[in-house]
Amino acid sequence: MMTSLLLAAGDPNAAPDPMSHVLPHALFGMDWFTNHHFMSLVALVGGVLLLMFVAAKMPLNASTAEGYVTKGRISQLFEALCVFLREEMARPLLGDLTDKYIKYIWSAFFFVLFGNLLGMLPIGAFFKLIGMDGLSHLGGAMTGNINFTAGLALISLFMMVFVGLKENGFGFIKHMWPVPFKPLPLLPIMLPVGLLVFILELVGLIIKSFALCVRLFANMVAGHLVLASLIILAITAPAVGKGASVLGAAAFSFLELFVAFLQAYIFTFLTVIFISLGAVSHDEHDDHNGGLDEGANPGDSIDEMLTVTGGTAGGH
Amino acid sequence: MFDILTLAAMEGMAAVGVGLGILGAGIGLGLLCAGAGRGIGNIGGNAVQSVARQPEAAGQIFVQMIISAALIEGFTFFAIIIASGMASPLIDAITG
Repeated sequence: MMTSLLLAAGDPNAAPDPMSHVLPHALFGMDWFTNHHFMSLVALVGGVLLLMFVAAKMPLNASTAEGYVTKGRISQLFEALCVFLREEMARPLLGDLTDKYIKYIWSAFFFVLFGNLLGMLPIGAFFKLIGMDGLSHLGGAMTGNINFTAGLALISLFMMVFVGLKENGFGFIKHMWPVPFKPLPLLPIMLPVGLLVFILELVGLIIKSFALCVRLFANMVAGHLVLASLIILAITAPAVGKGASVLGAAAFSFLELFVAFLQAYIFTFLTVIFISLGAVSHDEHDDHNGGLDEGANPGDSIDEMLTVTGGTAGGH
Repeated sequence: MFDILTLAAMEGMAAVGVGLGILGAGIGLGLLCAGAGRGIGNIGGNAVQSVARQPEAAGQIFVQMIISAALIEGFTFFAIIIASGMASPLIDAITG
C-alpha cells in the first residue's frame, strides 16, 4: 500500500520498468554485493535474533506445569508455528527421526519465510522518497533471485542424500534399484530396464530439488512483477489508472503475504517429504504411519498437549 | 552480390520471424493458463464436493487443496518465466 505512493514519487520523466523491481542491483559501489545479498543477511541475522529471543522466553526448568508456559505473545506465536511444523508436518512423515532433523526444517522454513516477507517492505522506495538516492535499491525479495533459491534447493538436496545415507546406509541406493537379481536367466532382460529406472531415480533427485528452486523463485518473481506493473500503471496511465493502481496493489499485496507464508510452507513440506522418502527405513515403510500407533491421527499429540487433565484450564 | 531487393526481403523475413516468435510465446502462455486453470479448477471442484459430503473434514480438505494448488502453480510459474524470457528479447528487438 505504501509502495504505491512511494514508488510513484520517483522520477516522473523516466518510463518506469517493472523488471527493475525484481532484478538485483549492486549496492554501495561494490560490483558483487547486491540488494538481494543484503536482504538475505537481514533475514539471517533478524531470523536468528528473533528465534533466540523466542527461545529465551521458553522456560526449561519449572516447578509447576504452568511454569512451563511460554512467556509473551510473540514467543507464543512463533512457538505455535514451530509446534505446528513439527507435529503436523514433520512427525507424520519422519516419525522418530523428527527430533534429529527438525533444526534444519525449522531453519529452512524461517529463512524462506523471512526472505519472502522482507521482500514486501518498500525500503528502497522509502529512502528514495526521503531523498537518499544512494540507497534507493535497498529492499527486494531475496527469494526472487534464482541464485538464492538454487542455494536453498542445493542444501535441501544435500539433506535428502545425507539423511538417506546416514539412516539407511547402502540401503538408500539399494532402494533405487528396482529389479531383483535372483532369477538369473532373466538377468539380460532385467538389467537394462533396471539400469534405466535407476538412472531415472537418480535424475529424479536432481529434478525434485530443481523444482523446489524454481517453484519458490517463480512465485516470488511473478508476484513482484505483477505488483510492480500495478503500481507503474499509475504512472503510465495516470488519467484512469491512479485509483485502480492503489487499490489493486493494496489488494494484491494481501495475496502476496499469503503466498509468502504458503511458499515457505510448501518448500519445507516438500523437503520433509523428500527426506522421508530416502530416510524412513523399509520395514517402517509398509505401515508408513510414521511412528504413530494404530488408530492415531496426526493431530492427537497436540490434543494431548492442550488438554490439561485436572488442571486449571479456566484460569486465564 | 546481394541486391537491394534481397536485403529488404531478408529484413522483412527477420521481422516476420520475430513476430512469429512473439506469437508463439503468446500462444504458449494462453495454453499454460488453460492447463493450469483446468487443473486447479479440478482440485477446487473436488474439494468443494468433498466438503459438501463431509463438512467435519473441511479443515484437512482445505489444507490438501492449498498444497495441491501450490504444487501446480509451481511449474505454471516456471513456464511463465520461460515464456516471458523468450518473448522479452523479441519485443526489445521490435521496439528497440
